[in-house]
Amino acid sequence: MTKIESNTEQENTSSNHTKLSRFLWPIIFLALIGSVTYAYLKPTVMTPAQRAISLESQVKCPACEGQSVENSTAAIAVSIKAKIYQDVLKNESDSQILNSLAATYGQDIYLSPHGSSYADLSWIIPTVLIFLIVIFLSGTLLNRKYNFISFVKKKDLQGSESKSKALHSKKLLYIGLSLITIGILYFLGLALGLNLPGKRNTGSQFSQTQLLEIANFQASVGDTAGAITTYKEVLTENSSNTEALTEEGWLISQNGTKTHNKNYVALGQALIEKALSYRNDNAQAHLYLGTIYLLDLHQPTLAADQYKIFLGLNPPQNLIAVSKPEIIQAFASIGEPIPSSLRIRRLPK
Amino acid sequence: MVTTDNDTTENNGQDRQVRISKQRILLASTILLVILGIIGVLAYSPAASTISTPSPLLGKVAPNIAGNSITNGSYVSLQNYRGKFVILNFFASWCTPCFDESPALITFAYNHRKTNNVAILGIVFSDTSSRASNFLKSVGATWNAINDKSGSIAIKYGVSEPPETFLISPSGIVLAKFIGPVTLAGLNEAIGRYQ
Repeated sequence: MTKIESNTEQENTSSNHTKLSRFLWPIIFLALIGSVTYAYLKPTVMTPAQRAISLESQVKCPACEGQSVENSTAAIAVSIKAKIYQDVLKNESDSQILNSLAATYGQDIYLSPHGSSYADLSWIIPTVLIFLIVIFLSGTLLNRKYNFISFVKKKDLQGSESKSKALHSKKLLYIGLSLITIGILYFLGLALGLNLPGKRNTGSQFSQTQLLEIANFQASVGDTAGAITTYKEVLTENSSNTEALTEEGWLISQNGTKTHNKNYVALGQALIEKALSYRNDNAQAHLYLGTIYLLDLHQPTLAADQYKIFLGLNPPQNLIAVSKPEIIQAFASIGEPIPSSLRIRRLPK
Repeated sequence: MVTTDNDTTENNGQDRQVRISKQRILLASTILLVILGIIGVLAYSPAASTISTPSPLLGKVAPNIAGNSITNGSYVSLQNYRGKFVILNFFASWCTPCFDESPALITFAYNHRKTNNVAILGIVFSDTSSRASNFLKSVGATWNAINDKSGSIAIKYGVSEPPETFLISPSGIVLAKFIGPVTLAGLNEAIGRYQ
């Protein structure tokens, strides 16, 4: 009697184990899918400029071949960048901004088909399903033939010993395969740039070049305060970045001109002069300094000196074109002839 | 001439082989013809400018446009053109195809001067008002044009680069979009479809 009871007890335990392993498997996978989904959809705190850049990278430049508007300088790409940035400042959601572009340009405006979080899930879920199928098949096929503890063929094991060992090995197999799957999906998630624990934090999300691009863009759309903050961010990482010094100095001096605050003008001038102390061949800095001398400090001689250096550095024609009135004014004020590089070139008929 | 069972079987086999090879030839020829047909259609299809291209805006109300005309300074709004077909033409002075398409637009405007049921409205794409105005004068265009300095009108219409042209119905619905220089035939065909 005692032996029979013992066997019944053992069978009950085995049955409980089977039930447990049946429930354990779906729970592990549900938890896995849930955590990946949560990690992906978890909102991240971004500045407006960072959000704008992130959106720009998802939008295809309509006038270019497979290039994002972020990396394009085409006229329409620049306009789209401005629109995105303005929409971000209006607190529109990412999907609203992207949908408004897709409403006029069509779905082709997205650089990649998985532009949205939900679209990404459309291929994450099938991947998980494939893993499930592979594990199910391998588990079923392998467990049919072998006992995994000793790799002894099942037919060589007898009775309850066989059953118990088989169940135990099945459980181990499932746990092992689950861990492998979790590992694969985790690294897949990291590769996708998901916000998973253990993601390498590289300090600032953007390189200095990208930050400069953001700042220049902020300045171009009239977000002076944002641009100054971003230039400062660049200077925190590299205090001798001449472009950041020059542009920040110019924005501060312009702010001083608008508000009639001489301190701001002086601060802006100081920053530009600092930039020139690092690199004296910075044409833009000489141009800005010349303009500050002319319009804010009313010193046309010093302004003309800066403009001469500027013109001597062979700056781009568009830069000369936009600054032509001030340069002419400076030379006219001191009675010097207008430099030849400013003369109007007539197009051949 | 005595025929044996073996001969018959051999003949049947040969017949089958011939049938199979005939079927294969027929299949290969069909595939080849289909491929050639596709190539032919692609090679001889009319230029993009003579047929309307897809746009999410087709069949929808045209986004409103308003601003001062670069040609005479008057205030222009797309809504003011209700009751007429509007040819909305995105152009720039630096755009060579825009220059190429101007005779077609001018002829089209001239042809509809009596019925007065068509208006052309230019949208300056990434250009200065003075250059665009000079461009219009140089080609002999007299219609109004608005400078889209920020590019917001271009975005509203899903424009990539000039020239791009839209046909808008008298009730303000976008009927057709043309990418590249328009032709007179293309404009006539598009408007003829809706008149």
